[in-house]
Amino acid sequence: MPLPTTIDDAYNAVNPDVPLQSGDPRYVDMSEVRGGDDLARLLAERLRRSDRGEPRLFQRQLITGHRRCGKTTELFRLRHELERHGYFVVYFDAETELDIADISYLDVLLSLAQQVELQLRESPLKIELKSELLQNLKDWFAQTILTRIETRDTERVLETEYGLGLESPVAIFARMLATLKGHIKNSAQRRKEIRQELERELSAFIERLNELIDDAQARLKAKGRAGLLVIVDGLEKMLMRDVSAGFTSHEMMFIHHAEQLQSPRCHLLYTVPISLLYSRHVQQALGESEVIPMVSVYQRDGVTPHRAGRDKLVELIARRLDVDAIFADRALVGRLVEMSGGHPGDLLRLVRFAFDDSETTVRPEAVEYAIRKLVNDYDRLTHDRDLELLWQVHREKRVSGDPEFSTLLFNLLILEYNGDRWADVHPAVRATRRWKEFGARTPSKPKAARRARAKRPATRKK
Amino acid sequence: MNDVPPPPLAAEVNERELLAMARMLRRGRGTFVLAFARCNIPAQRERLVSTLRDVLAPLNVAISEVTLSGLQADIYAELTAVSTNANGDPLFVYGLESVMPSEDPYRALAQLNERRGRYQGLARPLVFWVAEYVYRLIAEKAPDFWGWRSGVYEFVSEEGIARETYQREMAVPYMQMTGLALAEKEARIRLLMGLLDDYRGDDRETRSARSNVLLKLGQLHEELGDYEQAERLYRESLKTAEELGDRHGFAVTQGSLGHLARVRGDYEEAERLYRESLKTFEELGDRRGVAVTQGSLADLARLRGDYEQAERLFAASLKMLDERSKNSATGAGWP
Repeated sequence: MPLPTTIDDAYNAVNPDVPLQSGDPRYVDMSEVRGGDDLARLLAERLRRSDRGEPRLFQRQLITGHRRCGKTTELFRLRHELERHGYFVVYFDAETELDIADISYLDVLLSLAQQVELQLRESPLKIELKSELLQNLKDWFAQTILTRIETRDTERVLETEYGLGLESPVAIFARMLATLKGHIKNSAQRRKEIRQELERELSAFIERLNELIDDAQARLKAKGRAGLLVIVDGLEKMLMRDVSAGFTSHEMMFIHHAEQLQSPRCHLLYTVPISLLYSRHVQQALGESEVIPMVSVYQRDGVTPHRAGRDKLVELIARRLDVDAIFADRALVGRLVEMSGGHPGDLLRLVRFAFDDSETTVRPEAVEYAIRKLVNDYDRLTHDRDLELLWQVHREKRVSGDPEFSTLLFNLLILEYNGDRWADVHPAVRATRRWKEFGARTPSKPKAARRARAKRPATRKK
Repeated sequence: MNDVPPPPLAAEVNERELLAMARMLRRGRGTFVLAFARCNIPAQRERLVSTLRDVLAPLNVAISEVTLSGLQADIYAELTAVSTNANGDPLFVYGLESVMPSEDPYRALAQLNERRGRYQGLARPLVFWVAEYVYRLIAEKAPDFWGWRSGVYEFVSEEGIARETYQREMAVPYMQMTGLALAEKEARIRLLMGLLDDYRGDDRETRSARSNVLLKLGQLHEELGDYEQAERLYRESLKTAEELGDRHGFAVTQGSLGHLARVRGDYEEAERLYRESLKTFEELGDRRGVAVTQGSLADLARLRGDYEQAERLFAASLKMLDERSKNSATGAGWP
């Protein structure tokens, strides 16, 4: 397909909302410039290794990366890679399947079982799980968790609104999820109670889910498959808020309920919020984690351009549109790349911002216009109180495990680069006036000296 | 980006933004595009939208509009309820701040964040018209939704006559609010909040200063589009002026409240407040106050389309301003 040569035609080609499917010609392999290993190959190797082990262990893998860093695109590639190696991969996006604002590990587990059943049945393998097991789960749920009235209501709703026959064993998941998600008429209070019921009966619940998964594993093996991997994408989008006793919703999910999230007897991959990456607890609790880092646009000194990285990012644009036909000068794309900090989402956004200010050709003024827009946006997210910390990151090129970095990472004010985890402040933040003024006011000082100074009693009051 | 160019004129900025937005609406037709238009003054927004309609009409792009009100629980349902989407024409959304109740302002934003996947199905450009403070809340509290944006249009508030009043009224030299960067406005707010903390004494001078600071803070909040907070501050300032028997300060704050009513589109209330303020200025023989308030009333008449009245009031206001400048030693106008 020829590349678009006009802005009007190219507008949709730079849509940042659409993750690329594996094999899309627009895909640019960033692994070598991202630093670290090719994620898909690395994970495939880990899975095979744990399969060879005795007793057999299941791989629990956490994947994180900045919002819109190309996570889903990489996950699609991983799925492809693993399917090549004979795995059956169940992929689902928590964001589309679940209520991401009010999500509990129970929803995740139930969804997981539902998707395994569904995707096996609908795959070319046409694997159907033992109906007894589904029936067991259904009966157990109806008897243990729901009141009789709720069972009746649930069934009515499922029949009329979801078009599911009562006898269909498939309906069980839809039924349970609907109940949990509150789609069936019940109050928030009752929903909470149902969750509590489930928690009380947790081991029974998990055991029933695992019976299903064991059955799936056995049937896949019979068809010559190497194993089952479930990828739960979109969990990193769950809302961060304080839930109770100083814990955030993220910590509740990934630390307190890590054990439950680990319980399914298959290989698992969860996406987690990048802010949790620095929590020691989460890695202990949930297993190995990998970051999909930004492509760096500077060397680690923060000044020297990282040529290879920039070239790849220019290529990301050049795969989508005819750069020479649309930009007055090819170097303008380089300028946008520089200001994106290596973040593909911001890069595509910058291109669209520049298009907004351009009728037929993108000129330097439009590029500066686009950059100003992005800088304004990051200015809004930057609080004065964070400037000192941000400058510290900029000088030291790293972030520690302190919780105060969480929000800054979450909001992309700090970007993480390659495998050995160095970090820097987003170039758009560094282009704000406040950033520069703060830097001019506070010349570089070693951190220790600053701390010592802060501790000294204030005796020299003027 | 090292040297800071002088801020361009509001009209120039706004024209460039308007054109940019029109291009997005044309190019993004039939696909989902999330955009934000920052505009702090509803009356100004109405003018901008009307201009956009004119620009887009020859291209057969028709704009649909929906105003959210605090009653709806489900923003998405509201948006899908707006029909006439056969061509994937843009949808403008107003009143997002009204679905953010003060007790839990983030609930609505959380809703945007969690349901963002569904919005894609709208297959049309979606433009949220928001004031600065709402836009900022979205960026912070609904980062995933916000992270979807591919158009941001920042319209600059046009300088109003009333604002000039306050500018000259302040004891401390008043900064040019419109031209200030957001960060500076916020810094100013923090500074004033700090001052406010110092003004706790009960003596007349302290209370009077407090009243002035409250007034300024109110103006800054109004400038940022935070009208509720602005009103709260104005009312407190008004109360203090009343208790102090400061009729002049009282009249000035009434003028501020009048201006706030005006930008909120409540023209009747604006007129009532301006008239009361004018009456006080007349009784005090404060010719400056009279002239400026006449100007405000004139501008209000203009907004309402009563051009005769507007002309009459502008002329009266101008005449008075002219006399004053002749009498002034500096010739520049205000003492």
